[in-house]
Amino acid sequence: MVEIKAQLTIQYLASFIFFIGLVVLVYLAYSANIPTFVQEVERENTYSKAFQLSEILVNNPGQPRNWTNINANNFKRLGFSDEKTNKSNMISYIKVQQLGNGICNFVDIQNKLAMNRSFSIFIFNITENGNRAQLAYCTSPTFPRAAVNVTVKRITAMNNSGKIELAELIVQM
Amino acid sequence: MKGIMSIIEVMITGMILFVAFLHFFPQYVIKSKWDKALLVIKVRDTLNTIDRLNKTYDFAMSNDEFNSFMNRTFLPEKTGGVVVWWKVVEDSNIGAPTYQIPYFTEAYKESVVDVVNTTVGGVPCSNCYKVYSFTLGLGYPY
Repeated sequence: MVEIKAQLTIQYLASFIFFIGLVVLVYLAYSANIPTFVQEVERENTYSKAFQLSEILVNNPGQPRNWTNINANNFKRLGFSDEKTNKSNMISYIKVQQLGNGICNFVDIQNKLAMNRSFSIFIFNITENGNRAQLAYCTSPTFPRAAVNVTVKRITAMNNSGKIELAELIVQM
Repeated sequence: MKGIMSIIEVMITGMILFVAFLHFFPQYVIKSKWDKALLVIKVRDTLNTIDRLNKTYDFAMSNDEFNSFMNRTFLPEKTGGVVVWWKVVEDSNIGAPTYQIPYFTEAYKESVVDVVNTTVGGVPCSNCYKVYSFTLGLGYPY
């Protein structure tokens, strides 16, 4: 009768299990960071988009430059910069007023700004005592406040028929 | 003894692997620089806005007016954050008051050069146009 000796000793099994356990531990510790990493990268990207949007709105007059003179739905790009003074950080009250007067068809504005995500725009007049008087806003109907990831605030001057006032533009994404 | 040796060997190998993993695959740390970038934007926006409001000279000459403007712009209850600010006016002989620089943890400053006509009553003078630089600083409080 032939006896077959066991090939795997108990020591070998214990070592093997210990080794596999260590590999699994390292993998779990490493992979636990991945969701945080993805979330942070997404946040960076959102900040970048929000800043770009705020820059376009504050320092670009839009297309055409005098889009307030044409039919509200026919302009190609939104921008509040005052085309008459043509200076950075100088927005036009008339353009802001147009947004306040109902040109905010969100999907349309989103397309005209080439944005593929939800956002909110708020424009305030900063009063003498520092209070913010809301002049206009445009926000996605499907954008809950709890979903706001980043906020970019821009301080700017506003040309109100020759009277220069202090204003603030806020972009949330 | 042979079996114990293989356990010790695998434990040592495991430890080496564990340390090597931690060394070659460090924990992800995302260092966002947006806080700093937004501070820079805030300084530039404010400086530009002061210029658009045509208040550079007024703010250079009056600490009270400057403080009043900055208080109203960066009211903590409205902005949701606290910032400290200061101004430095360099040169010339315009007699600008000095301003105490506050303590801060991180700050950014930017300057604008301005020319002011100091003619009084339309009387021509040889040195009426004075050049000065207005520096605005914003930072997070200490």
